Amino acid sequence: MAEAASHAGSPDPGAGLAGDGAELAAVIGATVPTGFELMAAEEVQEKLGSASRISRDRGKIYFEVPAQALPQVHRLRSVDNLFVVVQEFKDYQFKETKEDALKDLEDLVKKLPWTDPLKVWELNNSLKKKKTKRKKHNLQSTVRKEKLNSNGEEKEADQKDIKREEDCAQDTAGVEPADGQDTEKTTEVASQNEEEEEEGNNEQSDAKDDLQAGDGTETKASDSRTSNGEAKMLKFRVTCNRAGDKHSFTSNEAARDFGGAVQEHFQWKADMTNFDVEVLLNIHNNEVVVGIALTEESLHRRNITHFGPTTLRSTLAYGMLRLCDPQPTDIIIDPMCGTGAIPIEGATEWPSCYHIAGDNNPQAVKRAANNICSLLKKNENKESASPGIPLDIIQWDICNLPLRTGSVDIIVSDMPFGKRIGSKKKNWDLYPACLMEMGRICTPGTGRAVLLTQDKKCFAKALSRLGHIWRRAQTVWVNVGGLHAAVYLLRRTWERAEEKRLFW
Amino acid sequence: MVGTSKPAPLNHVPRSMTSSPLRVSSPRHGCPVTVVTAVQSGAAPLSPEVTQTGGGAGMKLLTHNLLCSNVRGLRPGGGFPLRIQASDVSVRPVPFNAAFVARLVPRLRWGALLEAAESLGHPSELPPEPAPDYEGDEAFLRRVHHVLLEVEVLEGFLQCPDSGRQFPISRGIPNMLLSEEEA
Repeated sequence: MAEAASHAGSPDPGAGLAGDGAELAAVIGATVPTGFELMAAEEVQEKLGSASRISRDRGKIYFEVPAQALPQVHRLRSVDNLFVVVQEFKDYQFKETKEDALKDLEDLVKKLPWTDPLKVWELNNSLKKKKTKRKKHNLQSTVRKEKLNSNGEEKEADQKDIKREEDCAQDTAGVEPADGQDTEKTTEVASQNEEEEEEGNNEQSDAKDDLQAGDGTETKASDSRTSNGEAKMLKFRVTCNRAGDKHSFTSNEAARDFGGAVQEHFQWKADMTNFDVEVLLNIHNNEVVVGIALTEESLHRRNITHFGPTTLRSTLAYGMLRLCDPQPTDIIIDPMCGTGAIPIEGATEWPSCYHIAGDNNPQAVKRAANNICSLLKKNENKESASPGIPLDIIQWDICNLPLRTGSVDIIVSDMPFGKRIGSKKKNWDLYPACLMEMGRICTPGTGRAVLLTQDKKCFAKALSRLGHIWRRAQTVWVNVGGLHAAVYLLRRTWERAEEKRLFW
Repeated sequence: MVGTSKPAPLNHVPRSMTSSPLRVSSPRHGCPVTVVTAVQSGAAPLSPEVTQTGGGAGMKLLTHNLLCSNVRGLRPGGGFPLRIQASDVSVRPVPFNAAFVARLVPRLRWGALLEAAESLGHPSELPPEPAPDYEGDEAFLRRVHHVLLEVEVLEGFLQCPDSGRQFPISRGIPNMLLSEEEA
């Protein structure tokens, strides 16, 4: 029944994208690890100068930036996925019956302000094209300046921009597939909707699982225009996340009907797997947000090419590190590093600190070493070998660390959960011993620890006995692979540790 | 700019290990002393599933400055500093940051750093103690920077000065795990 849409195909190519790009602003939505919204907002403020709104739909923040700031947006370390907001409805009134509610959503499509967001989407595509080219030539892309001024001399650390969607999938040299238990690995499913909402059922439309990384879709997107700029037929799909118990429809139904209307309106072709445009329909109780995806695969695995069974996602690692507020020359230890997600994120983002990673498991140590190797390779260029990274690895026992007493500033670690590694029974003995030893090596007064654990009971009990060494400063409730976990920020008291080995 | 000696193959026995005898300290106050040969020094056998790729980084001397022996029953101060016996050392440039190095200087065990640098064949031309005005001395800071961050130990051993226990370094990674009996 819709008339020939005036919006057939992509926005008018003659709109002078280059000229518009300067003034074009975008409202960006970003998914972040639940619990770290404030951290993410801080990073956005710091790096982009924009204030963020934190949505009631947990794990999402919104901020406005000029479209030309998109490259910096992609370099944010605390975000999993990005989308450009088409429109937000703070208090959408759904009709009572399913038919009416769905019809409403269908009718909504032609009323939405698609033009500018689609321009942002196009701009984003051209960025991705550039990235792919650059990666092929293996050039160094970003030069990051150290925050620390050294006697007036600006130090420049040449670092490859390793924040690329395609890295995770393409660097397959040594990729070991995470086993089925690692639910974090399923990208969109995990990142967009991990929380089990207390209010009611929480669904997603399916067909997100086979979303492939990078390549195929990228070339599609870059081919979306013919040589003279005429819009070609675009392919799209709609992804719907719905949470709340008062809706009369499912996310599948919403996606289907909304998608139908999108197709009518733009005359695009629906394609679940090889799409150019991913339209997002996020419904959280009465909050409705329509957006267009800017990332294809979650950024959260960006640093890791060699996975282990419980590899922590980089965005969570970043959040944990930020929580302890590292200062230049701080010595940062992860004594149970696994594949090294935390120390690698640390060394990359806080290169003016010194990082040491350790684990007792030889497999983990090797994987961590391989991940560092991959990092070094990325930083290589033709002229010289890659510069060193302030990160060392050691094989050790957390309960008997070969480190001098009081020599370390910060401890950041993902503690064994008991579900995937070890067992709850072992945690009972392990946690007190860990906390003691960590207390010993940590600098009294100024030292701090940020520890992630799912075994909150065990942790709390262990902590209660060590009140003279650690005090709890902050707790962040997070969701890791479907498990409800907690991140504890602890501060080291001024009390000297009971010397196991005498101080020298 | 990176100088690397030939990377040691997996079962290469470092020359320094076979030529010099293990130092055995006599038991003190009934503390158990374990004499360990190179092969049995707690190195976990490389599992077939994960191979460590080459070209990685090695242990830096800043790390060494923080490490100490965790063997039981050492006398006070007996576990630090670990003696380095390196068979494969490389140099990898790291961008110089004067403020970073200057802030680290007061935290370092200076004597241990000098000793370590010497033992690696990188006599650092560093003074026995940092001069009072070290913060402004760029040449000094650059030398410290080089020794702390740019020299990497890829293969060798770290030896506990008190017990003589050897901890192997393989592909840049020290293995400080004690065996069941030692722990």
